[in-house]
Amino acid sequence: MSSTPDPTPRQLDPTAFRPAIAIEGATKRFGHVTAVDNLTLQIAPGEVFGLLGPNGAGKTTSIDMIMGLTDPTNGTIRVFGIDPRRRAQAVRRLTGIVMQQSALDAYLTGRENVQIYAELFLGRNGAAHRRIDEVLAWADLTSAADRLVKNYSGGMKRRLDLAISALHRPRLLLLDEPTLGLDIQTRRDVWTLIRDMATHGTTVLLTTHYLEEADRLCDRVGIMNHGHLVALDTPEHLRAAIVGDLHRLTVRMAEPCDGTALGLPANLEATDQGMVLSGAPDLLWRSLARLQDAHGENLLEVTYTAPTLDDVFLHLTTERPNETAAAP
Amino acid sequence: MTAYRRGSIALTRRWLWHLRREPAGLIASIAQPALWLVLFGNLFAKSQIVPGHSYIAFMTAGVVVMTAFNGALNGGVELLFDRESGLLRRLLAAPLPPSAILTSRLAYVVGVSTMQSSVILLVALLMGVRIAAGAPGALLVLAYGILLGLGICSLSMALAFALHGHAQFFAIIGFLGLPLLFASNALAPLDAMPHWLQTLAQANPMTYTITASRSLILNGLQPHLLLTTLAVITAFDALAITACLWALRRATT
Repeated sequence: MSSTPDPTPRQLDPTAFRPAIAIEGATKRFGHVTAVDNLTLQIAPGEVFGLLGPNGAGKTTSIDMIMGLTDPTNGTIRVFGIDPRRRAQAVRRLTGIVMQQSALDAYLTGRENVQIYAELFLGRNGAAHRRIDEVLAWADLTSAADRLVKNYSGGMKRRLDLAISALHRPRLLLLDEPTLGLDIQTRRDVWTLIRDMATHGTTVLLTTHYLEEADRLCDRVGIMNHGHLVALDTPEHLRAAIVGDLHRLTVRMAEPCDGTALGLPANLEATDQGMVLSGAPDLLWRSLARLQDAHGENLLEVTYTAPTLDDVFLHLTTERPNETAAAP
Repeated sequence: MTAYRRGSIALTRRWLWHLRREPAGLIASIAQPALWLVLFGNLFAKSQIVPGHSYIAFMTAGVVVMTAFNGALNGGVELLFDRESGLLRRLLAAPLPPSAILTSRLAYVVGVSTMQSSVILLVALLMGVRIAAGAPGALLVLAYGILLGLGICSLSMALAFALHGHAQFFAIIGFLGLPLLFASNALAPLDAMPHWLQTLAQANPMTYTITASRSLILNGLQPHLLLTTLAVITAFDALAITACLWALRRATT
């Protein structure tokens, strides 16, 4: 058993490299509010790391500290060995950033927006101009490049943000809620661009509300709540360990029946209209089969609810020893 | 090229792109002060407010300085919009010193008001005003406008960084604009004012600039006045720029 290879496709051991980002006991206080509390985290070069958490969890503050936009109250941060507190400009030359708010000048064209940053990062020369065309093409904005940004859609603005962040071929890309408020097709386009940067060796740190996003993009995920890092693992392990037993089936029945008598393997909660089963998918499946055998004619409707990030937080912040023991 | 120079030039280019998109606004902003001169000059043409000189000659310095003052007073608002849209934070995360952002705005605002002032002086010449200190005097008048504009625009930017939103900004600017104009010697000489207004006007940096510019136009070059005015406005600028840098740092960290 112990010789079975790890099923995770890209399992990275951050201690095997000089980390791209090394955060050691970082704390940030604003007056009486502690936004980030004793955060310790290492991200390996080339890794795609997702920081999950609700609003106010401390994700944006963490990004700001990495970028040198705000100094930690305590603790140390290194980006490729550089202290952003002392040498913020050096960190910024290595780092691309897409902020939560699309930060574009609406009264300039897409190309002019890129041109301003190109001048800051690369200067004004032939190579810089070629690079501007390159990133616009990369973000699929060539045909819209000379239109004013105020006429862009939300997705186009996000892609332009990404094009700007890619201009100087950064070694680290920071993305703060890159797909917040985008429709699913646009979200996929943005994922493709992020994945493309990662394939070319860029280390990516992204924050998100969406578990699915972290699942699709990230090698590892950290979950923050109230400024604390409450979980840190691969998405596969986190799902299995934390939300594996939080899948739900809501069963509506013609007549309520005593489910406990059936000895169903899933957790059971009786309701007015039937019952709610919860647990890992295989337990739910077996319970449903048994219910079908015993009360098939009685079943009116079965609704499946996938685990949400809310479940993860509930699970991580409330004591539920029985369920934790049931996790694989 | 240093990051500071590179950033200042790139961001000034941004303001010029904005200007190019609004040619009507540019023409209006250049024509309007000249219109002021024509209207006010003729309205009070008969007044004997300054014996020995036409009211237009008296007004010219006032209109030049007032134009520089108004342009600069509103100069910070674009950065307030940048702050509200998140663009300012994005720029601060780029490798450029924050002072480059301020420099670009100062260069642009002062550049536009110098164009306006040049048109005003030209219109004044056409209306028969002769600058007693000659061509160097005209250049010095423009230089005073630039120096005052740097300080006022810095204060405007400081306000843009310190306030919560643009509604507050416009309320304060709207409240200050006209009273500051009347509490200066732009429209009437100090000794024509009641005592309390005189006291107020003497604390107004506009007054120093107007007094010095007016003396160049009406009386000619007076080295003592020139130097003391330069010293006062430069000190004012230094204070204003320091306040602005402080407000920017406070707003963004």
